[in-house]
Amino acid sequence: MEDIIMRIDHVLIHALTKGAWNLLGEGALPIAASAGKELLALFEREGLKVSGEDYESLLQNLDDIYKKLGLAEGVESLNGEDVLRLKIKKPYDLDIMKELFEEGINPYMSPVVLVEIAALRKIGVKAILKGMELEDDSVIVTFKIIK
Amino acid sequence: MAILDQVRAILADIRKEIPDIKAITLAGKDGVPIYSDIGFLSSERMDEETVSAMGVLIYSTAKKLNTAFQNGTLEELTVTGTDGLTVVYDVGPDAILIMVLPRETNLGLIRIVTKQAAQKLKEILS
Repeated sequence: MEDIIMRIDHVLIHALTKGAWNLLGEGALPIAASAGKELLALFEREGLKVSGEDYESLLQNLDDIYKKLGLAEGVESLNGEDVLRLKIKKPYDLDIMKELFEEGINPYMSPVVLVEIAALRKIGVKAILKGMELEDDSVIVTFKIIK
Repeated sequence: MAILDQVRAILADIRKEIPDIKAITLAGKDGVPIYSDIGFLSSERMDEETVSAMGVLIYSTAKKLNTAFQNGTLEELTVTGTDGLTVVYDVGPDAILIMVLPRETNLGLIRIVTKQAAQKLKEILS
């Protein structure tokens, strides 16, 4: 039964990501940001407070939460000047992400990515989503930081 | 000068040229508000994040529709209401510019002013 539910989840995330992207293009990204805000609120209602004074402490916090919930093996920051690259190691929905990448669509509706975007906004970091890429079993999300 | 300061200066210049602007927002194409001055619009239900997200959503949809109708490159999106206009411009690969104006505003002037400003913003954000 659990397998069927996981499969439905899988198909839903895939279909929603692809459907919204095909219809709206970049316009789908703000929807993802809004959904991320709701996910963050759900985490907090469950006692998992996502916070941080800057994005480094925020990432540490997210890393702990992802590990605790089994959402990913961890999050690592690969910083450059004015660019923030977040490496999500072995996200739980890696299979969906791989399928979407193969179809040329960024997996922007992945819950792991949604929470990251919402968390950055929550602490006031102005970061524009620039791209996503697959690297082995990790997904790297790149943001341009506006200071 | 920091990017945000440069953005602020350019948007202030637009306001100088077009003092009637009721609200102005520069939004990332993922909906993140980069700089906003939404003044009277600000309320619990309408914050800068919502304005930015809706602007990106409508602009992107218009772009898709424009492409589907083979109308070339989308240059401007204007939403005309009985009491005002909302105009949206593309500012390169990363951002859009949203402005709210009185209904009687001269769109020709808006186009001239924003074309120059959009080019500068594009360079700053690139």
